[in-house]
Amino acid sequence: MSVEITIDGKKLAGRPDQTILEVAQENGIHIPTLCTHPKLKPTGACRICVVDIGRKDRLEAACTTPIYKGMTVETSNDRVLESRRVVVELLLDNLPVDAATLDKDGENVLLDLAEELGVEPHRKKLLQKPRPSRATDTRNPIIVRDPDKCILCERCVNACNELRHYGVLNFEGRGYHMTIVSGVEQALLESGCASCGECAEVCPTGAFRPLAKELVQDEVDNVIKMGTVYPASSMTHSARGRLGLPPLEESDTSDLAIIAEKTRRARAEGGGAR
Amino acid sequence: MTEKYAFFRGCFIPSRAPHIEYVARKFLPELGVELHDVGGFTCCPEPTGFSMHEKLTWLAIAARNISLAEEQGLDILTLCNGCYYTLKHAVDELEDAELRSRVNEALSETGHQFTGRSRVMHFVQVLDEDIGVKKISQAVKVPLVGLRVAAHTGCHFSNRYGLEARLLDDLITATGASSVEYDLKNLCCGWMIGAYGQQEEGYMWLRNRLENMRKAQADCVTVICPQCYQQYDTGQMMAARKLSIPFKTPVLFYLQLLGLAMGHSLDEVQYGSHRVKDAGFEEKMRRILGA
Repeated sequence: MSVEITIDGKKLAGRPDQTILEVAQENGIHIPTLCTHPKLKPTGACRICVVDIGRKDRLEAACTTPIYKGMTVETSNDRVLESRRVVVELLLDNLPVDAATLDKDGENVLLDLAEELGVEPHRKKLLQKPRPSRATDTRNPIIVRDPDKCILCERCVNACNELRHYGVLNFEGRGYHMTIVSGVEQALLESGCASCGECAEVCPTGAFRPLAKELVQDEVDNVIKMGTVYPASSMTHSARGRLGLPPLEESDTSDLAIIAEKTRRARAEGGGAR
Repeated sequence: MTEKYAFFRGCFIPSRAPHIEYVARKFLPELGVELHDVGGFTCCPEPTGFSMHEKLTWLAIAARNISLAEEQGLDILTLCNGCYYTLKHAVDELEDAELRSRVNEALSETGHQFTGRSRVMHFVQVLDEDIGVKKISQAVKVPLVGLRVAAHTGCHFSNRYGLEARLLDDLITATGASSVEYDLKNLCCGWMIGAYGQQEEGYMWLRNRLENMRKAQADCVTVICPQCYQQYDTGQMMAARKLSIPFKTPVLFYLQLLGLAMGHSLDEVQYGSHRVKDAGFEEKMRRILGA
Protein backbone atom coordinates (compact mmCIF):
# COMPACT_ATOMS: atom_id res chain seq x y z
CA MET A 1 0.00 0.00 0.00
CA SER A 2 1.55 3.27 -0.99
CA VAL A 3 1.18 6.57 0.85
CA GLU A 4 0.92 9.73 -1.21
CA ILE A 5 2.71 12.79 0.07
CA THR A 6 3.90 16.08 -1.38
CA ILE A 7 7.47 17.26 -0.91
CA ASP A 8 8.37 20.71 -2.23
CA GLY A 9 5.35 20.62 -4.52
CA LYS A 10 6.18 17.20 -5.99
CA LYS A 11 3.59 14.46 -5.57
CA LEU A 12 5.40 11.34 -4.38
CA ALA A 13 4.51 7.86 -3.15
CA GLY A 14 6.13 6.15 -0.21
CA ARG A 15 5.60 3.13 2.02
CA PRO A 16 3.81 3.57 5.37
CA ASP A 17 6.97 2.55 7.29
CA GLN A 18 9.11 5.25 5.69
CA THR A 19 10.27 8.54 7.15
CA ILE A 20 10.19 11.88 5.34
CA LEU A 21 13.97 11.67 4.91
CA GLU A 22 13.83 8.24 3.31
CA VAL A 23 11.19 9.27 0.79
CA ALA A 24 13.09 12.48 0.00
CA GLN A 25 16.37 10.61 -0.51
CA GLU A 26 14.73 8.01 -2.73
CA ASN A 27 13.41 10.82 -4.92
CA GLY A 28 16.62 12.81 -5.10
CA ILE A 29 15.45 15.63 -2.82
CA HIS A 30 18.32 16.91 -0.67
CA ILE A 31 17.71 17.38 3.05
CA PRO A 32 20.93 18.07 4.97
CA THR A 33 21.66 15.73 7.89
CA LEU A 34 24.22 15.56 10.66
CA CYS A 35 23.50 12.97 13.35
CA THR A 36 22.00 10.52 10.85
CA HIS A 37 24.40 7.88 9.61
CA PRO A 38 23.66 5.08 7.12
CA LYS A 39 24.74 2.41 9.62
CA LEU A 40 22.68 3.76 12.53
CA LYS A 41 19.05 4.13 13.48
CA PRO A 42 17.91 7.75 13.27
CA THR A 43 17.61 9.57 16.60
CA GLY A 44 16.52 13.08 15.67
CA ALA A 45 19.18 14.48 17.98
CA CYS A 46 20.74 17.31 15.95
CA ARG A 47 17.70 19.05 14.37
CA ILE A 48 19.56 19.79 11.14
CA CYS A 49 17.14 17.83 8.97
CA VAL A 50 14.09 19.76 10.19
CA VAL A 51 11.33 20.33 7.64
CA ASP A 52 8.06 22.25 7.61
CA ILE A 53 4.95 20.05 7.54
CA GLY A 54 2.56 22.96 8.03
CA ARG A 55 2.45 23.03 11.81
CA LYS A 56 2.60 26.55 13.19
CA ASP A 57 4.19 25.56 16.49
CA ARG A 58 7.09 23.44 15.30
CA LEU A 59 9.27 21.94 12.61
CA GLU A 60 9.78 18.18 12.44
CA ALA A 61 12.96 16.14 12.10
CA ALA A 62 12.75 14.45 8.69
CA CYS A 63 14.86 11.51 9.85
CA THR A 64 12.42 10.35 12.53
CA THR A 65 9.02 11.59 11.34
CA PRO A 66 6.95 8.92 9.57
CA ILE A 67 4.99 9.93 6.50
CA TYR A 68 1.19 9.92 6.40
CA LYS A 69 -1.37 10.21 3.64
CA GLY A 70 -1.76 13.74 2.32
CA MET A 71 1.31 15.08 4.16
CA THR A 72 2.74 18.27 2.68
CA VAL A 73 6.42 18.89 3.32
CA GLU A 74 8.57 21.91 2.57
CA THR A 75 12.27 21.14 2.89
CA SER A 76 13.86 24.53 2.31
CA ASN A 77 11.57 27.48 3.01
CA ASP A 78 12.86 30.48 4.99
CA ARG A 79 11.60 29.16 8.31
CA VAL A 80 13.41 25.83 7.81
CA LEU A 81 16.66 27.39 6.60
CA GLU A 82 16.74 29.86 9.49
CA SER A 83 16.21 27.04 11.99
CA ARG A 84 19.05 25.01 10.48
CA ARG A 85 21.34 28.02 10.48
CA VAL A 86 20.71 28.67 14.16
CA VAL A 87 21.42 25.04 14.98
CA VAL A 88 24.74 25.16 13.15
CA GLU A 89 25.63 28.48 14.78
CA LEU A 90 24.88 27.16 18.24
CA LEU A 91 26.81 23.95 17.62
CA LEU A 92 29.84 25.91 16.44
CA ASP A 93 29.57 28.49 19.22
CA ASN A 94 29.24 25.93 21.99
CA LEU A 95 32.61 24.40 21.12
CA PRO A 96 35.51 25.41 23.34
CA VAL A 97 37.80 25.30 20.27
CA ASP A 98 38.01 27.25 17.06
CA ALA A 99 35.99 25.68 14.28
CA ALA A 100 39.08 25.57 12.08
CA THR A 101 40.52 22.79 14.26
CA LEU A 102 37.56 20.53 13.51
CA ASP A 103 38.93 19.36 10.21
CA LYS A 104 39.27 15.58 10.14
CA ASP A 105 41.35 14.22 7.31
CA GLY A 106 39.88 16.79 4.94
CA GLU A 107 36.30 15.91 5.84
CA ASN A 108 34.08 17.61 8.35
CA VAL A 109 30.34 17.35 8.18
CA LEU A 110 29.70 20.36 10.43
CA LEU A 111 31.94 22.68 8.43
CA ASP A 112 30.37 21.43 5.20
CA LEU A 113 26.96 22.26 6.64
CA ALA A 114 28.09 25.72 7.72
CA GLU A 115 29.20 26.36 4.17
CA GLU A 116 25.97 25.00 2.68
CA LEU A 117 23.85 27.16 4.97
CA GLY A 118 25.99 30.27 4.68
CA VAL A 119 27.16 30.31 8.31
CA GLU A 120 30.54 31.96 8.78
CA PRO A 121 32.49 29.77 11.27
CA HIS A 122 34.65 32.65 12.51
CA ARG A 123 31.91 35.25 13.10
CA LYS A 124 31.11 36.72 16.53
CA LYS A 125 29.78 33.99 18.77
CA LEU A 126 26.16 33.84 19.88
CA LEU A 127 26.98 32.38 23.28
CA GLN A 128 28.54 34.36 26.12
CA LYS A 129 30.93 31.50 26.82
CA PRO A 130 31.38 28.10 25.28
CA ARG A 131 31.16 24.93 27.33
CA PRO A 132 34.17 24.00 29.48
CA SER A 133 37.22 22.54 27.78
CA ARG A 134 38.15 18.92 28.52
CA ALA A 135 41.47 17.14 28.16
CA THR A 136 42.29 15.03 25.11
CA ASP A 137 42.69 11.32 25.81
CA THR A 138 45.66 10.01 23.83
CA ARG A 139 46.52 7.03 26.00
CA ASN A 140 44.71 4.64 23.70
CA PRO A 141 47.01 4.45 20.68
CA ILE A 142 44.25 3.29 18.34
CA ILE A 143 41.67 5.97 19.00
CA VAL A 144 42.26 9.56 20.02
CA ARG A 145 39.42 11.19 21.93
CA ASP A 146 39.21 14.94 21.79
CA PRO A 147 36.05 16.01 23.69
CA ASP A 148 36.46 19.66 22.70
CA LYS A 149 35.49 18.79 19.14
CA CYS A 150 32.36 16.89 20.17
CA ILE A 151 28.94 18.23 19.14
CA LEU A 152 26.98 15.56 21.07
CA CYS A 153 25.39 14.20 17.90
CA GLU A 154 25.13 10.74 19.49
CA ARG A 155 26.61 8.83 16.56
CA CYS A 156 29.48 7.34 18.61
CA VAL A 157 27.17 6.34 21.46
CA ASN A 158 24.83 4.55 19.07
CA ALA A 159 27.68 2.92 17.17
CA CYS A 160 29.18 1.61 20.42
CA ASN A 161 25.85 0.35 21.72
CA GLU A 162 23.81 -0.65 18.68
CA LEU A 163 26.43 -1.75 16.20
CA ARG A 164 29.00 -3.19 18.55
CA HIS A 165 27.06 -4.02 21.71
CA TYR A 166 29.98 -2.80 23.82
CA GLY A 167 28.04 -0.21 25.76
CA VAL A 168 31.23 1.65 26.63
CA LEU A 169 30.22 5.13 25.44
CA ASN A 170 27.34 7.07 26.89
CA PHE A 171 26.12 10.54 27.80
CA GLU A 172 26.89 12.08 31.16
CA GLY A 173 25.40 15.25 32.62
CA ARG A 174 22.63 17.49 31.33
CA GLY A 175 22.40 20.53 29.11
CA TYR A 176 25.48 22.72 29.25
CA HIS A 177 27.43 20.07 31.16
CA MET A 178 26.52 17.15 28.93
CA THR A 179 29.46 15.17 27.62
CA ILE A 180 30.26 11.75 26.17
CA VAL A 181 32.00 9.46 28.64
CA SER A 182 33.57 6.02 28.34
CA GLY A 183 32.87 3.60 31.16
CA VAL A 184 32.41 5.40 34.45
CA GLU A 185 34.11 8.57 33.26
CA GLN A 186 37.30 6.60 32.67
CA ALA A 187 40.02 6.89 30.07
CA LEU A 188 39.23 4.77 27.01
CA LEU A 189 41.98 2.34 27.99
CA GLU A 190 40.39 1.65 31.35
CA SER A 191 36.77 1.62 30.29
CA GLY A 192 36.37 -1.74 28.58
CA CYS A 193 36.81 -0.14 25.16
CA ALA A 194 37.88 -2.81 22.67
CA SER A 195 39.49 -0.26 20.37
CA CYS A 196 37.24 -1.35 17.50
CA GLY A 197 37.34 2.11 15.95
CA GLU A 198 33.65 2.35 15.10
CA CYS A 199 33.30 5.64 17.03
CA ALA A 200 36.18 7.12 15.06
CA GLU A 201 34.55 5.96 11.86
CA VAL A 202 31.17 7.55 12.48
CA CYS A 203 32.28 10.73 14.30
CA PRO A 204 31.57 13.70 12.03
CA THR A 205 33.97 16.17 13.64
CA GLY A 206 37.08 14.27 14.70
CA ALA A 207 36.17 14.15 18.41
CA PHE A 208 36.99 10.47 18.01
CA ARG A 209 39.57 9.85 15.35
CA PRO A 210 41.80 6.95 14.36
CA LEU A 211 45.45 6.68 15.23
CA ALA A 212 47.98 8.39 13.02
CA LYS A 213 48.28 6.71 9.66
CA GLU A 214 52.07 6.58 9.98
CA LEU A 215 51.68 3.97 12.73
CA VAL A 216 49.96 1.51 10.41
CA GLN A 217 51.44 2.40 7.04
CA ASP A 218 54.07 -0.35 7.24
CA GLU A 219 51.41 -2.95 7.99
CA VAL A 220 49.24 -1.82 5.11
CA ASP A 221 52.24 -1.84 2.75
CA ASN A 222 53.35 -5.29 3.94
CA VAL A 223 49.92 -6.79 3.34
CA ILE A 224 49.78 -5.47 -0.20
CA LYS A 225 53.39 -6.24 -1.12
CA MET A 226 53.85 -9.55 0.68
CA GLY A 227 50.33 -10.71 1.55
CA THR A 228 51.28 -10.81 5.24
CA VAL A 229 52.03 -8.53 8.18
CA TYR A 230 54.42 -11.13 9.58
CA PRO A 231 56.91 -12.39 6.99
CA ALA A 232 58.46 -15.73 7.82
CA SER A 233 61.92 -15.68 9.41
CA SER A 234 64.55 -18.42 9.37
CA MET A 235 63.29 -19.38 12.84
CA THR A 236 59.79 -19.80 11.40
CA HIS A 237 61.04 -22.21 8.75
CA SER A 238 63.00 -24.31 11.21
CA ALA A 239 60.14 -24.40 13.74
CA ARG A 240 57.68 -25.47 11.03
CA GLY A 241 60.10 -28.12 9.82
CA ARG A 242 60.53 -29.48 13.36
CA LEU A 243 56.73 -29.70 13.75
CA GLY A 244 56.30 -31.39 10.36
CA LEU A 245 54.12 -28.54 9.05
CA PRO A 246 53.91 -27.76 5.33
CA PRO A 247 56.56 -25.20 4.31
CA LEU A 248 55.46 -21.56 4.10
CA GLU A 249 55.52 -20.28 0.59
CA GLU A 250 55.56 -16.64 -0.41
CA SER A 251 52.12 -15.37 -1.35
CA ASP A 252 51.34 -14.43 -4.92
CA THR A 253 50.29 -10.82 -4.39
CA SER A 254 49.54 -9.84 -7.98
CA ASP A 255 45.79 -9.78 -7.15
CA LEU A 256 46.41 -7.51 -4.16
CA ALA A 257 48.32 -4.99 -6.26
CA ILE A 258 45.37 -4.79 -8.67
CA ILE A 259 42.85 -4.50 -5.82
CA ALA A 260 44.83 -1.80 -4.02
CA GLU A 261 45.29 0.19 -7.19
CA LYS A 262 41.58 0.07 -8.04
CA THR A 263 40.21 0.73 -4.56
CA ARG A 264 42.63 3.60 -3.94
CA ARG A 265 41.63 5.17 -7.22
CA ALA A 266 37.93 4.77 -6.33
CA ARG A 267 38.61 6.41 -2.97
CA ALA A 268 40.46 9.31 -4.56
CA GLU A 269 37.48 9.81 -6.84
CA GLY A 270 35.20 10.01 -3.82
CA GLY A 271 33.87 6.45 -3.87
CA GLY A 272 35.32 5.18 -0.60
CA ALA A 273 33.57 2.82 1.75
CA ARG A 274 32.52 5.54 4.20
CA MET B 1 30.58 -37.41 10.37
CA THR B 2 33.24 -35.04 9.20
CA GLU B 3 32.74 -31.35 8.55
CA LYS B 4 35.09 -29.81 6.02
CA TYR B 5 36.27 -26.18 6.16
CA ALA B 6 38.59 -23.88 4.27
CA PHE B 7 41.43 -23.49 6.78
CA PHE B 8 42.22 -19.79 7.19
CA ARG B 9 45.46 -19.73 9.18
CA GLY B 10 45.95 -15.98 8.92
CA CYS B 11 49.44 -14.55 8.83
CA PHE B 12 50.42 -14.49 12.52
CA ILE B 13 50.03 -18.18 13.40
CA PRO B 14 51.97 -19.82 10.54
CA SER B 15 54.88 -17.45 10.96
CA ARG B 16 55.03 -16.53 14.66
CA ALA B 17 53.18 -19.31 16.48
CA PRO B 18 53.38 -22.41 14.25
CA HIS B 19 52.77 -24.68 17.25
CA ILE B 20 49.19 -23.35 17.29
CA GLU B 21 48.78 -24.44 13.67
CA TYR B 22 50.27 -27.77 14.70
CA VAL B 23 47.74 -28.43 17.48
CA ALA B 24 44.87 -27.35 15.18
CA ARG B 25 45.97 -29.76 12.46
CA LYS B 26 46.47 -32.51 15.02
CA PHE B 27 43.41 -32.25 17.27
CA LEU B 28 40.60 -30.77 15.15
CA PRO B 29 40.47 -33.77 12.76
CA GLU B 30 40.12 -36.05 15.80
CA LEU B 31 36.85 -34.21 16.49
CA GLY B 32 35.60 -34.59 12.93
CA VAL B 33 36.76 -31.21 11.64
CA GLU B 34 38.56 -31.54 8.31
CA LEU B 35 40.85 -28.64 7.46
CA HIS B 36 41.25 -27.99 3.77
CA ASP B 37 44.21 -25.87 2.64
CA VAL B 38 43.02 -23.34 0.07
CA GLY B 39 45.78 -21.92 -2.12
CA GLY B 40 46.07 -18.15 -2.42
CA PHE B 41 44.85 -16.91 0.97
CA THR B 42 46.65 -13.74 2.09
CA CYS B 43 46.54 -11.69 5.31
CA CYS B 44 42.87 -11.22 6.23
CA PRO B 45 43.86 -8.09 6.31
CA GLU B 46 44.74 -6.72 9.74
CA PRO B 47 41.51 -5.54 11.38
CA THR B 48 42.28 -2.29 13.17
CA GLY B 49 44.62 0.24 11.57
CA PHE B 50 44.09 -0.96 8.01
CA SER B 51 40.30 -0.77 8.24
CA MET B 52 40.36 2.71 9.76
CA HIS B 53 42.49 4.21 7.03
CA GLU B 54 41.77 2.24 3.88
CA LYS B 55 38.36 0.74 4.37
CA LEU B 56 37.54 -0.10 0.76
CA THR B 57 40.92 -1.77 0.12
CA TRP B 58 40.54 -3.65 3.39
CA LEU B 59 37.07 -4.90 2.45
CA ALA B 60 38.14 -5.88 -1.05
CA ILE B 61 41.14 -7.93 0.14
CA ALA B 62 38.91 -9.65 2.71
CA ALA B 63 36.32 -10.30 -0.02
CA ARG B 64 38.99 -11.87 -2.23
CA ASN B 65 39.99 -14.25 0.57
CA ILE B 66 36.37 -15.23 1.17
CA SER B 67 35.78 -15.73 -2.55
CA LEU B 68 38.55 -18.35 -2.64
CA ALA B 69 36.63 -20.42 -0.08
CA GLU B 70 33.38 -19.81 -1.95
CA GLU B 71 34.94 -21.19 -5.12
CA GLN B 72 35.64 -24.43 -3.21
CA GLY B 73 32.10 -24.48 -1.81
CA LEU B 74 33.47 -24.38 1.74
CA ASP B 75 32.84 -22.38 4.90
CA ILE B 76 35.86 -20.70 6.46
CA LEU B 77 37.40 -21.74 9.78
CA THR B 78 39.77 -19.29 11.47
CA LEU B 79 41.98 -19.71 14.53
CA CYS B 80 42.32 -15.98 15.12
CA ASN B 81 39.99 -13.32 16.51
CA GLY B 82 41.47 -10.71 14.16
CA CYS B 83 40.89 -12.81 11.04
CA TYR B 84 37.41 -13.65 12.27
CA TYR B 85 36.65 -9.99 12.84
CA THR B 86 37.85 -8.89 9.40
CA LEU B 87 36.22 -11.65 7.39
CA LYS B 88 32.93 -11.63 9.30
CA HIS B 89 32.82 -7.87 9.16
CA ALA B 90 33.32 -8.00 5.39
CA VAL B 91 30.51 -10.53 4.96
CA ASP B 92 28.17 -8.31 6.99
CA GLU B 93 29.14 -5.04 5.32
CA LEU B 94 28.92 -6.54 1.85
CA GLU B 95 25.24 -7.28 2.32
CA ASP B 96 24.96 -3.69 1.13
CA ALA B 97 24.42 -4.13 -2.61
CA GLU B 98 26.13 -0.92 -3.66
CA LEU B 99 29.23 -1.58 -1.57
CA ARG B 100 29.35 -5.14 -2.82
CA SER B 101 29.28 -4.01 -6.43
CA ARG B 102 32.12 -1.55 -5.75
CA VAL B 103 34.17 -4.31 -4.13
CA ASN B 104 33.40 -6.75 -6.93
CA GLU B 105 34.39 -4.11 -9.45
CA ALA B 106 37.79 -3.94 -7.69
CA LEU B 107 38.01 -7.76 -7.82
CA SER B 108 36.88 -8.09 -11.43
CA GLU B 109 40.36 -8.23 -13.00
CA THR B 110 41.52 -10.86 -10.52
CA GLY B 111 38.94 -13.35 -11.74
CA HIS B 112 37.26 -13.58 -8.31
CA GLN B 113 33.81 -12.45 -7.18
CA PHE B 114 32.40 -12.17 -3.69
CA THR B 115 28.95 -13.74 -3.37
CA GLY B 116 28.48 -14.15 0.39
CA ARG B 117 27.77 -17.90 0.13
CA SER B 118 30.39 -19.05 2.63
CA ARG B 119 30.01 -18.74 6.38
CA VAL B 120 32.92 -17.30 8.36
CA MET B 121 33.44 -19.33 11.53
CA HIS B 122 35.82 -18.95 14.43
CA PHE B 123 36.98 -22.41 15.48
CA VAL B 124 35.17 -22.08 18.82
CA GLN B 125 31.92 -21.53 16.91
CA VAL B 126 32.66 -24.62 14.83
CA LEU B 127 33.22 -26.59 18.04
CA ASP B 128 30.11 -25.14 19.69
CA GLU B 129 27.65 -25.08 16.78
CA ASP B 130 28.81 -27.64 14.21
CA ILE B 131 30.51 -30.24 16.40
CA GLY B 132 28.77 -29.68 19.71
CA VAL B 133 30.02 -29.55 23.26
CA LYS B 134 28.65 -33.05 23.83
CA LYS B 135 30.95 -34.56 21.24
CA ILE B 136 33.89 -32.69 22.75
CA SER B 137 33.08 -34.09 26.19
CA GLN B 138 32.99 -37.54 24.62
CA ALA B 139 36.46 -37.02 23.14
CA VAL B 140 37.89 -36.21 26.59
CA LYS B 141 39.93 -39.14 27.86
CA VAL B 142 41.52 -37.47 30.89
CA PRO B 143 39.10 -34.94 32.43
CA LEU B 144 41.16 -32.03 33.74
CA VAL B 145 39.41 -32.11 37.10
CA GLY B 146 40.83 -29.61 39.55
CA LEU B 147 42.44 -27.39 36.92
CA ARG B 148 41.37 -23.76 37.36
CA VAL B 149 41.35 -21.94 34.05
CA ALA B 150 40.94 -18.22 33.44
CA ALA B 151 39.08 -17.89 30.14
CA HIS B 152 40.17 -14.95 28.02
CA THR B 153 37.95 -14.67 24.95
CA GLY B 154 39.49 -11.53 23.46
CA CYS B 155 37.77 -8.42 22.32
CA HIS B 156 37.62 -8.98 18.57
CA PHE B 157 35.47 -12.01 19.14
CA SER B 158 33.40 -11.55 22.29
CA ASN B 159 30.80 -8.80 22.54
CA ARG B 160 30.81 -8.46 18.80
CA TYR B 161 27.79 -9.70 16.92
CA GLY B 162 26.19 -10.54 20.25
CA LEU B 163 28.53 -13.48 20.79
CA GLU B 164 29.34 -14.02 24.39
CA ALA B 165 32.33 -15.20 26.34
CA ARG B 166 30.18 -18.07 27.59
CA LEU B 167 31.20 -20.08 24.51
CA LEU B 168 34.72 -20.45 25.83
CA ASP B 169 33.51 -21.14 29.37
CA ASP B 170 31.43 -24.05 28.04
CA LEU B 171 34.32 -25.42 26.02
CA ILE B 172 36.64 -25.24 29.04
CA THR B 173 34.07 -26.99 31.20
CA ALA B 174 33.81 -29.71 28.57
CA THR B 175 37.46 -30.63 29.25
CA GLY B 176 36.63 -31.26 32.91
CA ALA B 177 38.50 -28.12 34.04
CA SER B 178 36.68 -25.26 35.73
CA SER B 179 36.43 -21.81 34.19
CA VAL B 180 36.98 -19.35 37.02
CA GLU B 181 35.30 -15.98 37.37
CA TYR B 182 37.66 -13.04 37.68
CA ASP B 183 37.35 -9.28 37.60
CA LEU B 184 37.03 -7.58 34.23
CA LYS B 185 36.99 -10.95 32.52
CA ASN B 186 35.79 -9.74 29.14
CA LEU B 187 38.30 -6.98 28.62
CA CYS B 188 40.96 -6.75 25.93
CA CYS B 189 44.35 -8.47 26.42
CA GLY B 190 46.07 -5.18 25.63
CA TRP B 191 48.18 -6.54 22.79
CA MET B 192 47.24 -3.71 20.45
CA ILE B 193 48.18 -1.10 23.02
CA GLY B 194 51.77 -2.30 22.97
CA ALA B 195 51.77 -3.08 19.25
CA TYR B 196 50.94 0.53 18.42
CA GLY B 197 53.64 2.04 20.54
CA GLN B 198 52.29 2.42 24.10
CA GLN B 199 54.47 -0.35 25.48
CA GLU B 200 54.39 0.74 29.14
CA GLU B 201 50.59 1.08 29.10
CA GLY B 202 50.37 -2.37 27.53
CA TYR B 203 52.46 -3.96 30.27
CA MET B 204 50.49 -2.30 33.06
CA TRP B 205 47.27 -3.38 31.43
CA LEU B 206 48.53 -6.96 31.25
CA ARG B 207 49.73 -6.97 34.86
CA ASN B 208 46.30 -5.86 35.98
CA ARG B 209 44.66 -8.73 34.07
CA LEU B 210 47.13 -11.27 35.43
CA GLU B 211 46.62 -10.05 38.99
CA ASN B 212 42.86 -10.47 38.64
CA MET B 213 43.36 -14.04 37.41
CA ARG B 214 45.77 -14.69 40.25
CA LYS B 215 43.23 -13.49 42.82
CA ALA B 216 40.78 -16.03 41.38
CA GLN B 217 43.44 -18.73 41.88
CA ALA B 218 43.69 -19.56 38.20
CA ASP B 219 46.37 -22.12 37.27
CA CYS B 220 46.56 -20.91 33.70
CA VAL B 221 44.84 -18.66 31.17
CA THR B 222 43.21 -20.02 28.04
CA VAL B 223 42.88 -18.00 24.84
CA ILE B 224 41.42 -18.45 21.37
CA CYS B 225 43.45 -15.85 19.50
CA PRO B 226 47.15 -15.81 18.59
CA GLN B 227 47.63 -12.16 19.50
CA CYS B 228 46.11 -12.77 22.94
CA TYR B 229 48.38 -15.81 23.14
CA GLN B 230 51.44 -13.75 22.38
CA GLN B 231 50.42 -11.06 24.85
CA TYR B 232 50.08 -13.58 27.69
CA ASP B 233 53.23 -15.47 26.69
CA THR B 234 56.00 -13.22 25.32
CA GLY B 235 54.18 -10.13 26.61
CA GLN B 236 54.02 -11.59 30.13
CA MET B 237 57.72 -12.38 30.03
CA MET B 238 58.55 -8.80 29.00
CA ALA B 239 56.07 -7.25 31.47
CA ALA B 240 57.56 -9.32 34.30
CA ARG B 241 61.00 -7.92 33.48
CA LYS B 242 59.79 -4.33 33.42
CA LEU B 243 57.31 -4.43 36.29
CA SER B 244 58.68 -7.36 38.33
CA ILE B 245 55.52 -9.47 38.47
CA PRO B 246 56.18 -12.00 41.26
CA PHE B 247 54.28 -14.95 39.72
CA LYS B 248 53.81 -16.73 36.41
CA THR B 249 50.54 -17.69 34.75
CA PRO B 250 51.15 -19.94 31.74
CA VAL B 251 48.82 -19.52 28.77
CA LEU B 252 47.30 -22.33 26.74
CA PHE B 253 45.60 -21.88 23.39
CA TYR B 254 42.25 -23.63 23.81
CA LEU B 255 43.23 -26.44 21.44
CA GLN B 256 46.26 -27.17 23.64
CA LEU B 257 44.00 -27.45 26.69
CA LEU B 258 41.68 -29.71 24.72
CA GLY B 259 44.65 -31.79 23.54
CA LEU B 260 45.67 -32.37 27.15
CA ALA B 261 42.15 -33.52 28.00
CA MET B 262 42.22 -35.80 24.96
CA GLY B 263 45.09 -37.63 26.60
CA HIS B 264 48.17 -35.92 25.19
CA SER B 265 51.16 -34.81 27.25
CA LEU B 266 52.43 -31.28 27.80
CA ASP B 267 55.20 -32.04 25.31
CA GLU B 268 52.72 -33.23 22.70
CA VAL B 269 50.66 -30.03 22.94
CA GLN B 270 53.91 -28.08 22.38
CA TYR B 271 54.06 -26.50 25.82
CA GLY B 272 57.83 -26.55 25.24
CA SER B 273 57.44 -23.72 22.70
CA HIS B 274 56.14 -21.34 25.39
CA ARG B 275 58.11 -18.51 26.95
CA VAL B 276 56.24 -18.50 30.26
CA LYS B 277 56.43 -21.82 32.08
CA ASP B 278 55.63 -22.46 35.70
CA ALA B 279 56.84 -25.44 37.73
CA GLY B 280 53.74 -25.41 39.95
CA PHE B 281 51.45 -25.56 36.92
CA GLU B 282 53.53 -28.33 35.32
CA GLU B 283 53.45 -30.36 38.54
CA LYS B 284 49.68 -29.97 38.82
CA MET B 285 49.19 -30.96 35.17
CA ARG B 286 51.32 -34.07 35.60
CA ARG B 287 49.23 -35.01 38.62
CA ILE B 288 45.96 -34.50 36.74
CA LEU B 289 47.21 -36.32 33.66
CA GLY B 290 48.46 -39.16 35.84
CA ALA B 291 51.91 -39.07 34.29
